Amino acid sequence: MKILSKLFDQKISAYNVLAEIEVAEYETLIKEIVYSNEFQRRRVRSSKSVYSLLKSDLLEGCVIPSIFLALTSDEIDAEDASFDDISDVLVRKKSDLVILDGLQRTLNILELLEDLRERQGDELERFEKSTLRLEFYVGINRIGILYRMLTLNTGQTPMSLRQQIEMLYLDYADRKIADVLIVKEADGKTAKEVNEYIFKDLIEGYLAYLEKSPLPIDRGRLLEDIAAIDKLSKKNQAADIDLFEQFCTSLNTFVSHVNSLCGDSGVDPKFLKDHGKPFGESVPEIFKRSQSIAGYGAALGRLIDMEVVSDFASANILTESILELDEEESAMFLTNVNESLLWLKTHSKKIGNAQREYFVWFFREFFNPDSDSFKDLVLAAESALNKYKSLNFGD
Amino acid sequence: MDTSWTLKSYSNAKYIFEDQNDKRILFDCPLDLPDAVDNENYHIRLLEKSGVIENDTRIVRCRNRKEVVGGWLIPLLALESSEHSKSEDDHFLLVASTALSILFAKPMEYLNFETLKGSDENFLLTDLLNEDVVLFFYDASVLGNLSIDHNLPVNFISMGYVLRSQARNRDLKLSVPPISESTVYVNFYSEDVTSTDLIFEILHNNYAYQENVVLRFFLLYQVLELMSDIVLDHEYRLVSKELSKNSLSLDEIRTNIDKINKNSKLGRRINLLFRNYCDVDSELRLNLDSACNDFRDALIDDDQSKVFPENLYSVRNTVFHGYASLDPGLVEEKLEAIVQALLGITPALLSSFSLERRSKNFHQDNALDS
Repeated sequence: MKILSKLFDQKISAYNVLAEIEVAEYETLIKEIVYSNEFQRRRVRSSKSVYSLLKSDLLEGCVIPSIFLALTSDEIDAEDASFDDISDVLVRKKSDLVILDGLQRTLNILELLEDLRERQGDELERFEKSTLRLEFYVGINRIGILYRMLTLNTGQTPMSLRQQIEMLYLDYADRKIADVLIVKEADGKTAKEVNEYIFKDLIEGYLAYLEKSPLPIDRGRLLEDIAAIDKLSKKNQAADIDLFEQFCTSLNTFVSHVNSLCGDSGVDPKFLKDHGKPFGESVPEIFKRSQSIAGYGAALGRLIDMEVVSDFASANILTESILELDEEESAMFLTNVNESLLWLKTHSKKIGNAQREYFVWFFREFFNPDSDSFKDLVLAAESALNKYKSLNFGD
Repeated sequence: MDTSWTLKSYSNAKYIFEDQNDKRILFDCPLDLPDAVDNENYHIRLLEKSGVIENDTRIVRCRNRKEVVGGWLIPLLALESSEHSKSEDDHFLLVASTALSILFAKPMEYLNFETLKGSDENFLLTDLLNEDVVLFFYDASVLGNLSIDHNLPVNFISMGYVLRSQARNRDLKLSVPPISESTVYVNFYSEDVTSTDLIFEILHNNYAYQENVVLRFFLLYQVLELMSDIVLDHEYRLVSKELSKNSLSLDEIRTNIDKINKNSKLGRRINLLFRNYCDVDSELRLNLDSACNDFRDALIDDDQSKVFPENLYSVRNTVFHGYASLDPGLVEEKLEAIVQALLGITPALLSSFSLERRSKNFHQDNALDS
């Protein structure tokens, strides 16, 4: 691999490194991550004729557009590093590479190599020696990667926005962030313990935080939001604080603390008798579900944006400042939440969306010092429904 | 060339479609669906209900065969979510799986893929149809062959369900009070009702999309008039049959001839329709009666009280002949109540209409008339 130049990208505070690489070397560099990453290896089918055209172009020595990658490892400071050092790190830390743009081209190259090996002709050697252009982003944080992914993939997109973001944070799955253990449902695991969370749900909550909305988002809106959070990007890149980690630990602070406050309290037995299975019988059952996590993200996103809450750490302090909740209050809190959610179930066009909106209001009421329900779980559970009703049903 | 999609594969509630260029799109159902049941009696029709919510899944039973389930009404929204009350109900999941397999067997017949954005890979059913669409899954061995539009249950309209319009740009205006029961009982057109295709057209393609309350009133009244034509025809037949008897006295002949004259009037035919041809629930009748009286009290300066259904005919005449002199706001308010009551009673009239019932009470009526 030959490094040709490096340029500083002011927007995302990272270096863009231009390189040339032979196809055979690219295969060695990228094969492991393509096949080990469930998102990267996804083959998105489009027209057969487009594929065969691209393959024949590649064989004829056509120069294809640069493939963009990002190095998520922070092992090197690209500003002072020589080209050789950069090249060395890229090869050594190849498992930390993410393809930002050019996944389909990469898959085609790998597929063509396999075809040529089966055919055992002289085309293989010629193709292996042909040159590709790569652009690496080095020293980039995840928000920067997301921003670049979104700006690069402006045309036909092979992956959904959700998949791109899941891919970006995939290395968090099955590991611990402070006290939070993230599990992937796909592996057949369940988030049984209070501090265990489903990976997809956390991603949804984090997206809701970035977007300040608990509802499904579109690429354009997210891009606008990320571009607009200039201050966020500067702050966090400078301090190298991973927002995703902050989000997860903050959510867990709320769930764990409120769970310990409620102790063994449960939903009012009369409610259970009248209505059967509730949304959730305990704090983890209610607040570890995707609707609530999205509500937490969206509410904190809005409150931080409006400077009502300064950051996740302040939210954690607020949560932990509630020192006690007696048994009656705990039961009332759990019952109020379930009663509200039951009302939404029988009146909402889309139950999941309504529940997400409800939790946004719940957390906004709870964390907002100007609200009557500030730091009052019981009241917040009630007033969140009233807010939802007044906005959606004109009550 | 138009894109044509076909279901390529299915596993774990993931339905993958492919077009002629091998482009793939996916519907990933969040429900834990079992394998679909293959039964030639199972069919689907697409309905629409304004403001239908995710939790609006209902079991359909035939009013005269209450012991067996005849079908299900499933909002599309309920197939895209696992939050509603039926999402873990085994019977619902089996029906949902079977209904989806029927829907996806002929995707181009039911789904509008043109609405899919170019870059989308995953789609929702509501992307291809709309959020108000309800899938009517039915068992033809219980409910009969409903493939012809006017064979659909006659009281769907009074519950807010309309056959999905082919004209995509029309907004459904039909609005009915919410249904709280999880089971709906359906009934069908009486065999004695003719012009069912026309009546279906009036109800599903005109009434359901009409916002103006006066026009809605006349559309429903039009259905009564179509039925009153059958009444007139039958009355002629009954009188003719009566006159053909050799034993009639001169008075009896005169009475029957008078009857022809009397029954040719619309008001009288509407009267006969309600009293002698149909058997409707007294609550439905009382609702309409009371709404008509309210209208008359508020808008007609007439000391002479009218009994039901003469008061309905009187309302019709007032609106038809004197609309310009009435307070439009008050007309709208009072007529809306009549229209709602009329919408409730119309399916009962259409399903209980019986020529035989009238034939049986014809002589009794003769005695009264004489």
